[in-house]
Amino acid sequence: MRQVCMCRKSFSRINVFAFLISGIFVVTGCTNPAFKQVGASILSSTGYVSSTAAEGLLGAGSNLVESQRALTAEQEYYLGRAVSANLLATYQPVLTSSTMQYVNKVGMAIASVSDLPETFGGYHFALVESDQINAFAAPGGFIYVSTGFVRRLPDEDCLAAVLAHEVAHVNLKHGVSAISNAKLLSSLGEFTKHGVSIAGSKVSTPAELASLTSALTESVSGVTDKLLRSGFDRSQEYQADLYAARLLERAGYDPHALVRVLTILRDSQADDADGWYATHPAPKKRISELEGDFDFAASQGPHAERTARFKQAVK
Amino acid sequence: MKMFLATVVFLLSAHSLYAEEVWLQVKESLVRTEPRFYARGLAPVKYGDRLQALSRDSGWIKVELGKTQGYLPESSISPKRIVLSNLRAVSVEADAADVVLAGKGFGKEIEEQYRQSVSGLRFDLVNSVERSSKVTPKEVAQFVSKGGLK
Repeated sequence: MRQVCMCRKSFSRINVFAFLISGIFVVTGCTNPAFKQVGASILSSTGYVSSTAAEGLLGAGSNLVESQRALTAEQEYYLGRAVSANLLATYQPVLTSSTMQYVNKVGMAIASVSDLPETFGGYHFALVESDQINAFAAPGGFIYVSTGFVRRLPDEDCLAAVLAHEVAHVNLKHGVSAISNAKLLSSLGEFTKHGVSIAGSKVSTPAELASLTSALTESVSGVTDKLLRSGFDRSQEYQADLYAARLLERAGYDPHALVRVLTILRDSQADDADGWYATHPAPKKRISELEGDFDFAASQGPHAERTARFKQAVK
Repeated sequence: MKMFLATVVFLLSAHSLYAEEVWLQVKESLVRTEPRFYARGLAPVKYGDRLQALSRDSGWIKVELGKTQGYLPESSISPKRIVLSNLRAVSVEADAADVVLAGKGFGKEIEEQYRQSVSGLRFDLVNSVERSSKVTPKEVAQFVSKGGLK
């Protein structure tokens, strides 16, 4: 009896090992059919899973990874351009050279220390004409802040805090998450299969063009609706606040600036019920979430040089 | 069992070697002297360029491009082979999931179709924003330094 048990134990160890190895193949080789097949063989050799089921399990792992990489950096950039083309139909950008240069330098000081320091077409920060308090982050790194919001900010650190929150949305792919993934993936999947067979050709077939244009239209409308009307999920907003505080700290800005911005938002709520207020959780709740999650060091207070250049550039 | 283990180790090693080949997935970047965004640029790299990954550390990847070794943000590289679709002689034999066809999917061509199908879009302003928002790494580095930032 003891011997049987030992055999079972030993067999069980081999099975655990086989499962682990096949798991490694799911993670590391899921996009390569040869590795997927080896993983399936190892998994089915345990006797617990049929070869069909093993392939199914590995396929599920592959789909999971694939869904997280739904869009390439290039596709995200073109999606961001299309969302921007919608936003800028309502909000006129301030294209004054000195303002653009300044806002982009502050934005890049933040984005460069993020986990996504480069996007396909680069980050683009712009102020847009609106008395409302508002800010948007379109996929691919297109970030817009309303002039009405900037007018209420006292210094560069607070502007950096607003931009850091938006950079966080881009890093965390919150805009892309607004898309109905299943349908989009199905469109892209069909296209990719066909794409390989026509590699070398610049021109897509009419059916591919129609299918992708329809997918783009639907995706743009989903993201634009999130940005202008429904807003991101509360949990995504809290995540973006926490990430923004970390970015401010990494860049050398005062993370307390984010709390100062949220306090300004709380105090301005009575004057402006639309804009950011319609799409974001209550500032009071965001402050309490942030203070609970982020370990704040003592505030550095306003920085003279940064405050002076902020006033010169945007006031 | 030994044979089985040897096969597994061989396959995993083969895969790790295979995985060291990476492709640039952003339009353009710079191979830098150090793993810092504003470090000196050694060589420009373009979308689809193939690089050899040497090591990874805290969001940066050490790469080799010809005789040059330097650093790129890890998020700027892809383990998937990027095939530029305007290279007519390209031959793609790998599985579709291993390959990204540059310009395919959502790209210029689809943007043009979208632009024609929806009225009132302001792609002209998007282009203006892209043009006007360009700042060089050197300008940002000076801005960071003057502002007492890191």
